[in-house]
Amino acid sequence: MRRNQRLSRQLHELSRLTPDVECTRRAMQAARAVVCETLPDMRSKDWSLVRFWPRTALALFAGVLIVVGIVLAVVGPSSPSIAFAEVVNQVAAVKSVQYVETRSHMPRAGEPRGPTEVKKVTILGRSQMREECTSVTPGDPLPNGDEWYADPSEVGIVMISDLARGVFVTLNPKTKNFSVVKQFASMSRDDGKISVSKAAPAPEADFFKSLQLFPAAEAERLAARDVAGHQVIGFRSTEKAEHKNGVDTWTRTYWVDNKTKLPVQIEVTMESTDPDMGQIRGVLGDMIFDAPIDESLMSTEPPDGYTVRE
Amino acid sequence: MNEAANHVLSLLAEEGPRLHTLLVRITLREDVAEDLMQDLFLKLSRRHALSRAVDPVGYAVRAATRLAFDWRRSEQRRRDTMEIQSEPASNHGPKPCQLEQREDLQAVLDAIEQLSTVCRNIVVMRYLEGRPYEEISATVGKTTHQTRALCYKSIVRLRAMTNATRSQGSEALK
Repeated sequence: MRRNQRLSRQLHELSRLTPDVECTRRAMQAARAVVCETLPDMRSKDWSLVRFWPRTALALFAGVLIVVGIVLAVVGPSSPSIAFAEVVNQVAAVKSVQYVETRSHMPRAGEPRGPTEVKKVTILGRSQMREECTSVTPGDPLPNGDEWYADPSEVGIVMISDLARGVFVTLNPKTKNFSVVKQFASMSRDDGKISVSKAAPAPEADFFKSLQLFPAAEAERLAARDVAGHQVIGFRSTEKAEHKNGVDTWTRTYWVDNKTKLPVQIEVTMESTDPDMGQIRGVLGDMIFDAPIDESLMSTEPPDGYTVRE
Repeated sequence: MNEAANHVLSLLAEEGPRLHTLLVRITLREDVAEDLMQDLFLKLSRRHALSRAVDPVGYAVRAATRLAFDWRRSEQRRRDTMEIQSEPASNHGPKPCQLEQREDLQAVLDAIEQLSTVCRNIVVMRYLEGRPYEEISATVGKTTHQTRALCYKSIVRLRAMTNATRSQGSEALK
């Protein structure tokens, strides 16, 4: 073949290469997820405010747990290929989510062990959420009359959030108290100062918002395995956050069903070089998507027989 | 969602398939192209460069071309290192696809990589994408006449380089 023809033929051949439609769709979804992750107005503002003991940390941590989740672009060579964007899209399409969240303390050597809390979480649509504390294993006794952030007296307490309206209520079935939460307190990660913010509307639960924040590009892909009876693939990210008194290391692992492309289990650990920061581990498991949910469970009106308090 | 983000997402919706196809044609790997798409839009999002670009589409095409050839260079370095170390092929790495094993296409792409940035962009847009000279000249900031001339010179260089490569290969076989 003449020289000129050879080069022309090869260039022509390159110009005819076209990826299949599914591949392009997957690439665009992954790119879209990356763009959304970098949007400044979609980022969480102050998760650094979460302190170990404040009770509000429970709710904030739940959000962080979920954030983790999903992402990722491509799976390991021996695993089926799932782009993180596919997981995000699958989760975005669900009408309801239920899971059990277990949060436990990871004591350093010589530290007392903290309580382990379990709660059932139900999310209806994008912005209605119900969290019910189902068990608390007490922590070791603390000196000086200090108390852990949770104790068994909290079992049964329900928090219902209507994020779209900015309405947050708690129900205590034991005392028959109904409380409307008007403001949240949080503690500065660096100087310990407590700040108070008014309850305000939000477009969606952190469960969904968090999906956009997972650093998919840097995530490690984990080999396929069986988790809770599902064949899953894993995505793991490790992020360090430097603070005045130390460095926090967040490790997030997401196990995603390779058929449904929905998360099966989400694991998060936070370790810190700051001795004042508690180290925690959270697991979101028993995940159920699209099960019918009784809308009355999301009511923010006081039930009959309850005393209203603010 | 802010204006910059909307800008990037609009570009993705309108030009995403073109950019992805371009990445596949340069890398010859669909999996790599998918990763590079993410890198590309991450860069476009983070630097707000797209908002400042006079020709956002052209800017994105140039950025995609640069990313893809950067990947080719790093991949070549990785292969060279592996050869030096004489390590057995890993069972865990991605399996090369049929396209990737096309040495003739790889040689052409390697030769394109040797061109100057402007010439490379012109060749890529003209021969890998089939774009008209008017559009290419606007993207690279040259007149149409200059673009045609640079394109011609680039092809002459490519022929010389690919023929040289072929001759070296023949010598090695003797």
